[in-house]
Amino acid sequence: MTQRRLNGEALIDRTRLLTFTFNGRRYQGHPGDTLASALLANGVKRVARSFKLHRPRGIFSAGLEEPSALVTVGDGPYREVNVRATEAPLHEGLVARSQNCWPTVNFDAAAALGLFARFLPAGFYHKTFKWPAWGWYEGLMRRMAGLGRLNGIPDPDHYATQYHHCDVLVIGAGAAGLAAARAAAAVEDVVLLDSGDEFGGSVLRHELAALPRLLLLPRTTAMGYYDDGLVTALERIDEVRAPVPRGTQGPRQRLWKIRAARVVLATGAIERPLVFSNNDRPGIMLASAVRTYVTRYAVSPGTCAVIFTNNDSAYATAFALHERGVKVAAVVDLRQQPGAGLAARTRGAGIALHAGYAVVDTRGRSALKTVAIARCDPGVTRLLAGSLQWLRCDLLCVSGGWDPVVHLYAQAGGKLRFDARIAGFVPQRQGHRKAECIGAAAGHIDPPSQAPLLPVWRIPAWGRRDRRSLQWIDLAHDVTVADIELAATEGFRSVEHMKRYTTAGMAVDQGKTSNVNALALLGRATGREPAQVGTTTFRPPFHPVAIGALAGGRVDQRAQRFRRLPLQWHAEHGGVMEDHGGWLRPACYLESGETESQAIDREVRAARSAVALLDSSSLGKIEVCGEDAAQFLNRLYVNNVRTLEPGRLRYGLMLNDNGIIIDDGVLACLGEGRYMVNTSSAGALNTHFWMEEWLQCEWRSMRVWIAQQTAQWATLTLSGPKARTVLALLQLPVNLDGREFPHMHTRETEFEGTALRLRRASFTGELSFEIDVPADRGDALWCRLLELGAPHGIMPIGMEALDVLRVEKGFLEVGTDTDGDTSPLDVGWGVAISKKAEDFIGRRSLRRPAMQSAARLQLVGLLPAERNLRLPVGTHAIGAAGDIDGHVTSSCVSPHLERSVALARVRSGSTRMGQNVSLDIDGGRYSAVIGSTAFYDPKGERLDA
Amino acid sequence: MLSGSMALERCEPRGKLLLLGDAPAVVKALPEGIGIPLQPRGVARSRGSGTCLWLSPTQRLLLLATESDARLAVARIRALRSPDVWAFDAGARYVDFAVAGRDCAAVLNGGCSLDLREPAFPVDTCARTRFDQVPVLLVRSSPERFEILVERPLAHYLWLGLCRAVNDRRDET
Repeated sequence: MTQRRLNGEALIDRTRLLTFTFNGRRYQGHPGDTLASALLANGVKRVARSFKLHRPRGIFSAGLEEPSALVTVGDGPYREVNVRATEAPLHEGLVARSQNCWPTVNFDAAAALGLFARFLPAGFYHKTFKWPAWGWYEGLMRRMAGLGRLNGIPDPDHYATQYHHCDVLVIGAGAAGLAAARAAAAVEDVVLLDSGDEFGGSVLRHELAALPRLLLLPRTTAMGYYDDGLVTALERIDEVRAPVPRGTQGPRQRLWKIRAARVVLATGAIERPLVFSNNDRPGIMLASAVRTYVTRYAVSPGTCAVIFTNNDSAYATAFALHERGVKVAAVVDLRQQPGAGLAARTRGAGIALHAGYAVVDTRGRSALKTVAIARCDPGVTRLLAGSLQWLRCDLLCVSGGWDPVVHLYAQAGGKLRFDARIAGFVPQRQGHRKAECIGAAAGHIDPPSQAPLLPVWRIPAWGRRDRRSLQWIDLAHDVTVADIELAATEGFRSVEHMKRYTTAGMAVDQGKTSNVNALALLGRATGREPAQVGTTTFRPPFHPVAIGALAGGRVDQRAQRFRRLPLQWHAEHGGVMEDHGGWLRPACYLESGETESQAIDREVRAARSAVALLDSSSLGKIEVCGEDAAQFLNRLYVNNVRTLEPGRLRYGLMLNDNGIIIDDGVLACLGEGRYMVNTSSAGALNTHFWMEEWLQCEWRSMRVWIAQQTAQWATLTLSGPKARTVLALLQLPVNLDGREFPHMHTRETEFEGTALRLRRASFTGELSFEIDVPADRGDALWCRLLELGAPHGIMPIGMEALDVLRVEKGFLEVGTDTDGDTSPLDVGWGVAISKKAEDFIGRRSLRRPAMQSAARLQLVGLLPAERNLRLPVGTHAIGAAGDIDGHVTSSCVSPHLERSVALARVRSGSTRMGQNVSLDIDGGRYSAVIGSTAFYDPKGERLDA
Repeated sequence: MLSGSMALERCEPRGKLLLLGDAPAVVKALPEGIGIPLQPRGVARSRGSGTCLWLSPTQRLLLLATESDARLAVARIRALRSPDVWAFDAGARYVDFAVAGRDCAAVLNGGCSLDLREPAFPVDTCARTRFDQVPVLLVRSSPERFEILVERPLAHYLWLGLCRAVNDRRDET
């Protein structure tokens, strides 16, 4: 393989060699190289295949604007697709391969698509593949679409997030950015970030490092500008993707979220290519990129170069190549006269200068071999007959001018204007209060052209053949001049519509090298100037970001934070921990050799026959106090709270303004003006917010104080006929006798110097005591109860057993047996509500005819004809006319009733007691009898067992 | 947990008292010598008598040396039977962590979006904020030390997040 490394100074370490592989072949490079520079140094020209037509593509640029050289880097879990070879730093053992080609990049079967290119213009998929149906083609099309293939293995690296505040954020460490940062850092907190590794030379680096108020962030790319000066930036910390045990390495990347009082955008400019026939061959590159490879990496991308330009800046590339000994066959300048002195210097270097000429075509099947040039008129509207020449070269350096990088400025809300001097969009003066562009980003292209740039958006094709479909605008998405003109012909005059129709600028490079050419050509096709066409909306991110970097630390356990019970005991004793209302709670406790079903059955029987112990700590606990607390709760709950005496409990329903049930719970009066509201586990936070909203926004004169105390207390529930016996063994200073401490009463007491609250409320239908104890004492009390209760057959139970117990009793679970349309009238609370004289939230809604309709879905019990058939939750009840008549909300096979039971919401259910209802389960029809919701102990006698 | 110049630790349990009420009523209910912060995000330190954090115009959290101190204070305030001041034991509600070291603010900025530079968040400032999306109560107790109070059910995740933030700063510290 040819070595293209040049002599002379460069920012690579020539004393060390790095070995890497590309498409299975071994190559060598140096520290400091990118994959692109190393490939060019090894003479590799064909790197990728284009997105749509699979045309061979090479390296086009030297930075983040690269549209063509997208490769897959790494193996196994470290594989990353769509990496720009121009940005991938070389390291020992790097493995890279081409993508979007089969079997190889040199021979790609899909390149045959090029034969049918005329049938695949912009938007072809809207017009073709209609017969007989899109589905016939969809699989193939989807396989062919997309770039790179993920392997489905989780990314083992981790990513960090960092917030930062500063007075001034300077983005870009070119000359303008460095000067701005140095000046500001004397008196303000400054952050200076840049995509590159270096901040100036070594002297300047030491000087910057000595500024205490300056934070330097190399290898960091600003991604987006958001409200109020928030800028996101991605720092590449470790690009060596290699197998290192997880957790032993630092983050791979860090997403910075920087909030700055002022943002200085020294983001520079990106060179714009010229549009001519066959301008996409490997070997055709941006002139500035070639200069970078020559001077920074000491690599010549070719052996014989031609420069094609419409401005002065590309001449520097010609001189750089020449000075390093690379043959420059010619400089082709569209202008009749280049800048002062350039013509003489060019000719003095022995380089042929073709002023007033254009490159009109190229040849070379696998890579560039020759270019055709022809003389053009001053406006480059036509080519002069007989002027065609073919020049042999393997490198064509093109420059169509410069586009300031104004993406972040536009995202900040800054306005742009078209500057005819550079034929590009620049920030308007005083366009934004906080973000300011300087240097090239403001349109001050350095060095200033001595002869004006000649704006040319398309070079005429030579000969009679229409070559517009071979004049590429967006190399990343294979968008041509013909596509843009087709869009205009079909009425897509808006630049936003053209973008979506042709997909120009929608690839991973976001059109950094193509957008201005595309919009200018749209303007030409529709008789408008570029300024009239305008730009598309600049949206973040400026540069592709790995999903992992956006997720940051929110992976594994931290991805979904279930609240944890204060007791550690469960997981250590066979508890199967699952999400219940946002809390990680034991579903059941598995004993040796048991299935979950057997465990649940065992736990249910223990609760009915002996005593069960349940961790109910997730129950919401909100203390509501103050002179007006009773009135406040009276308005929030459908129940009458005013009559609730100290030491008493009352079950309550909470409605929203529409009369829909939003939560339920038990209200406890702890003393005069002191209430403890137990909400559902999932509803604790929302109920608290609901209360605060009404108190702070509507009833501001009320003297009420609300404290969210859910996390303060652990709640242990003893339930079963022997619950009182076991609780008595704690020897609390409370009379537990049923007459002294009856159902729906509460007591406050102490246990071994710790505050304790007891409630006699039951969600199982059995005699139950809920015990509140400070959360940090929960484990100790739990273990004590298990120890004391062992002789009485105490058994810890999980949520699944509790669900069976409450379904057997027909107890409502808000969110399970109710939905966003369930009113208290639908669950049998009509009589109770009618007795309350005072107003409450939702009352007026309940009086509306629609809410009182007998045809509403009402909560009932179902007894399936097949005794052992557990009805799947969600099973539809089917009416006589085949319409949906309701659905099952809760279901279980009751160990005590030895049959299946269910709760369901059935149309007019309360008036259909004893009737059969038809159920549809996976297409099969089953029957059930409608009845009461209380299947077990309907009189509630076991509550006082 | 130590990493470079950073220290991350779980603090010893201490008494905590949630005080609800308007400032004058709360001052009246507290024993002499205990001050309360009157300004948002303020922290009032009373010699030997604890630290009081501003949570909202009508909510303050009093940190006391021991849990029994907090229980006594609750009993004392309840005994006053004032309808304008309410006290709740919050000792078990929160778990406390501390991050100390030269880069403690940067470590916390690994998950917290507040401006923690000293001029913006000086010593004896507190804030209800989030770390790694976990709601926390953040207190700066010295230029190089922050205390973080988190509700017990989410303490596990906060610890994981803080450990990761300390490790992520390892190369920089």
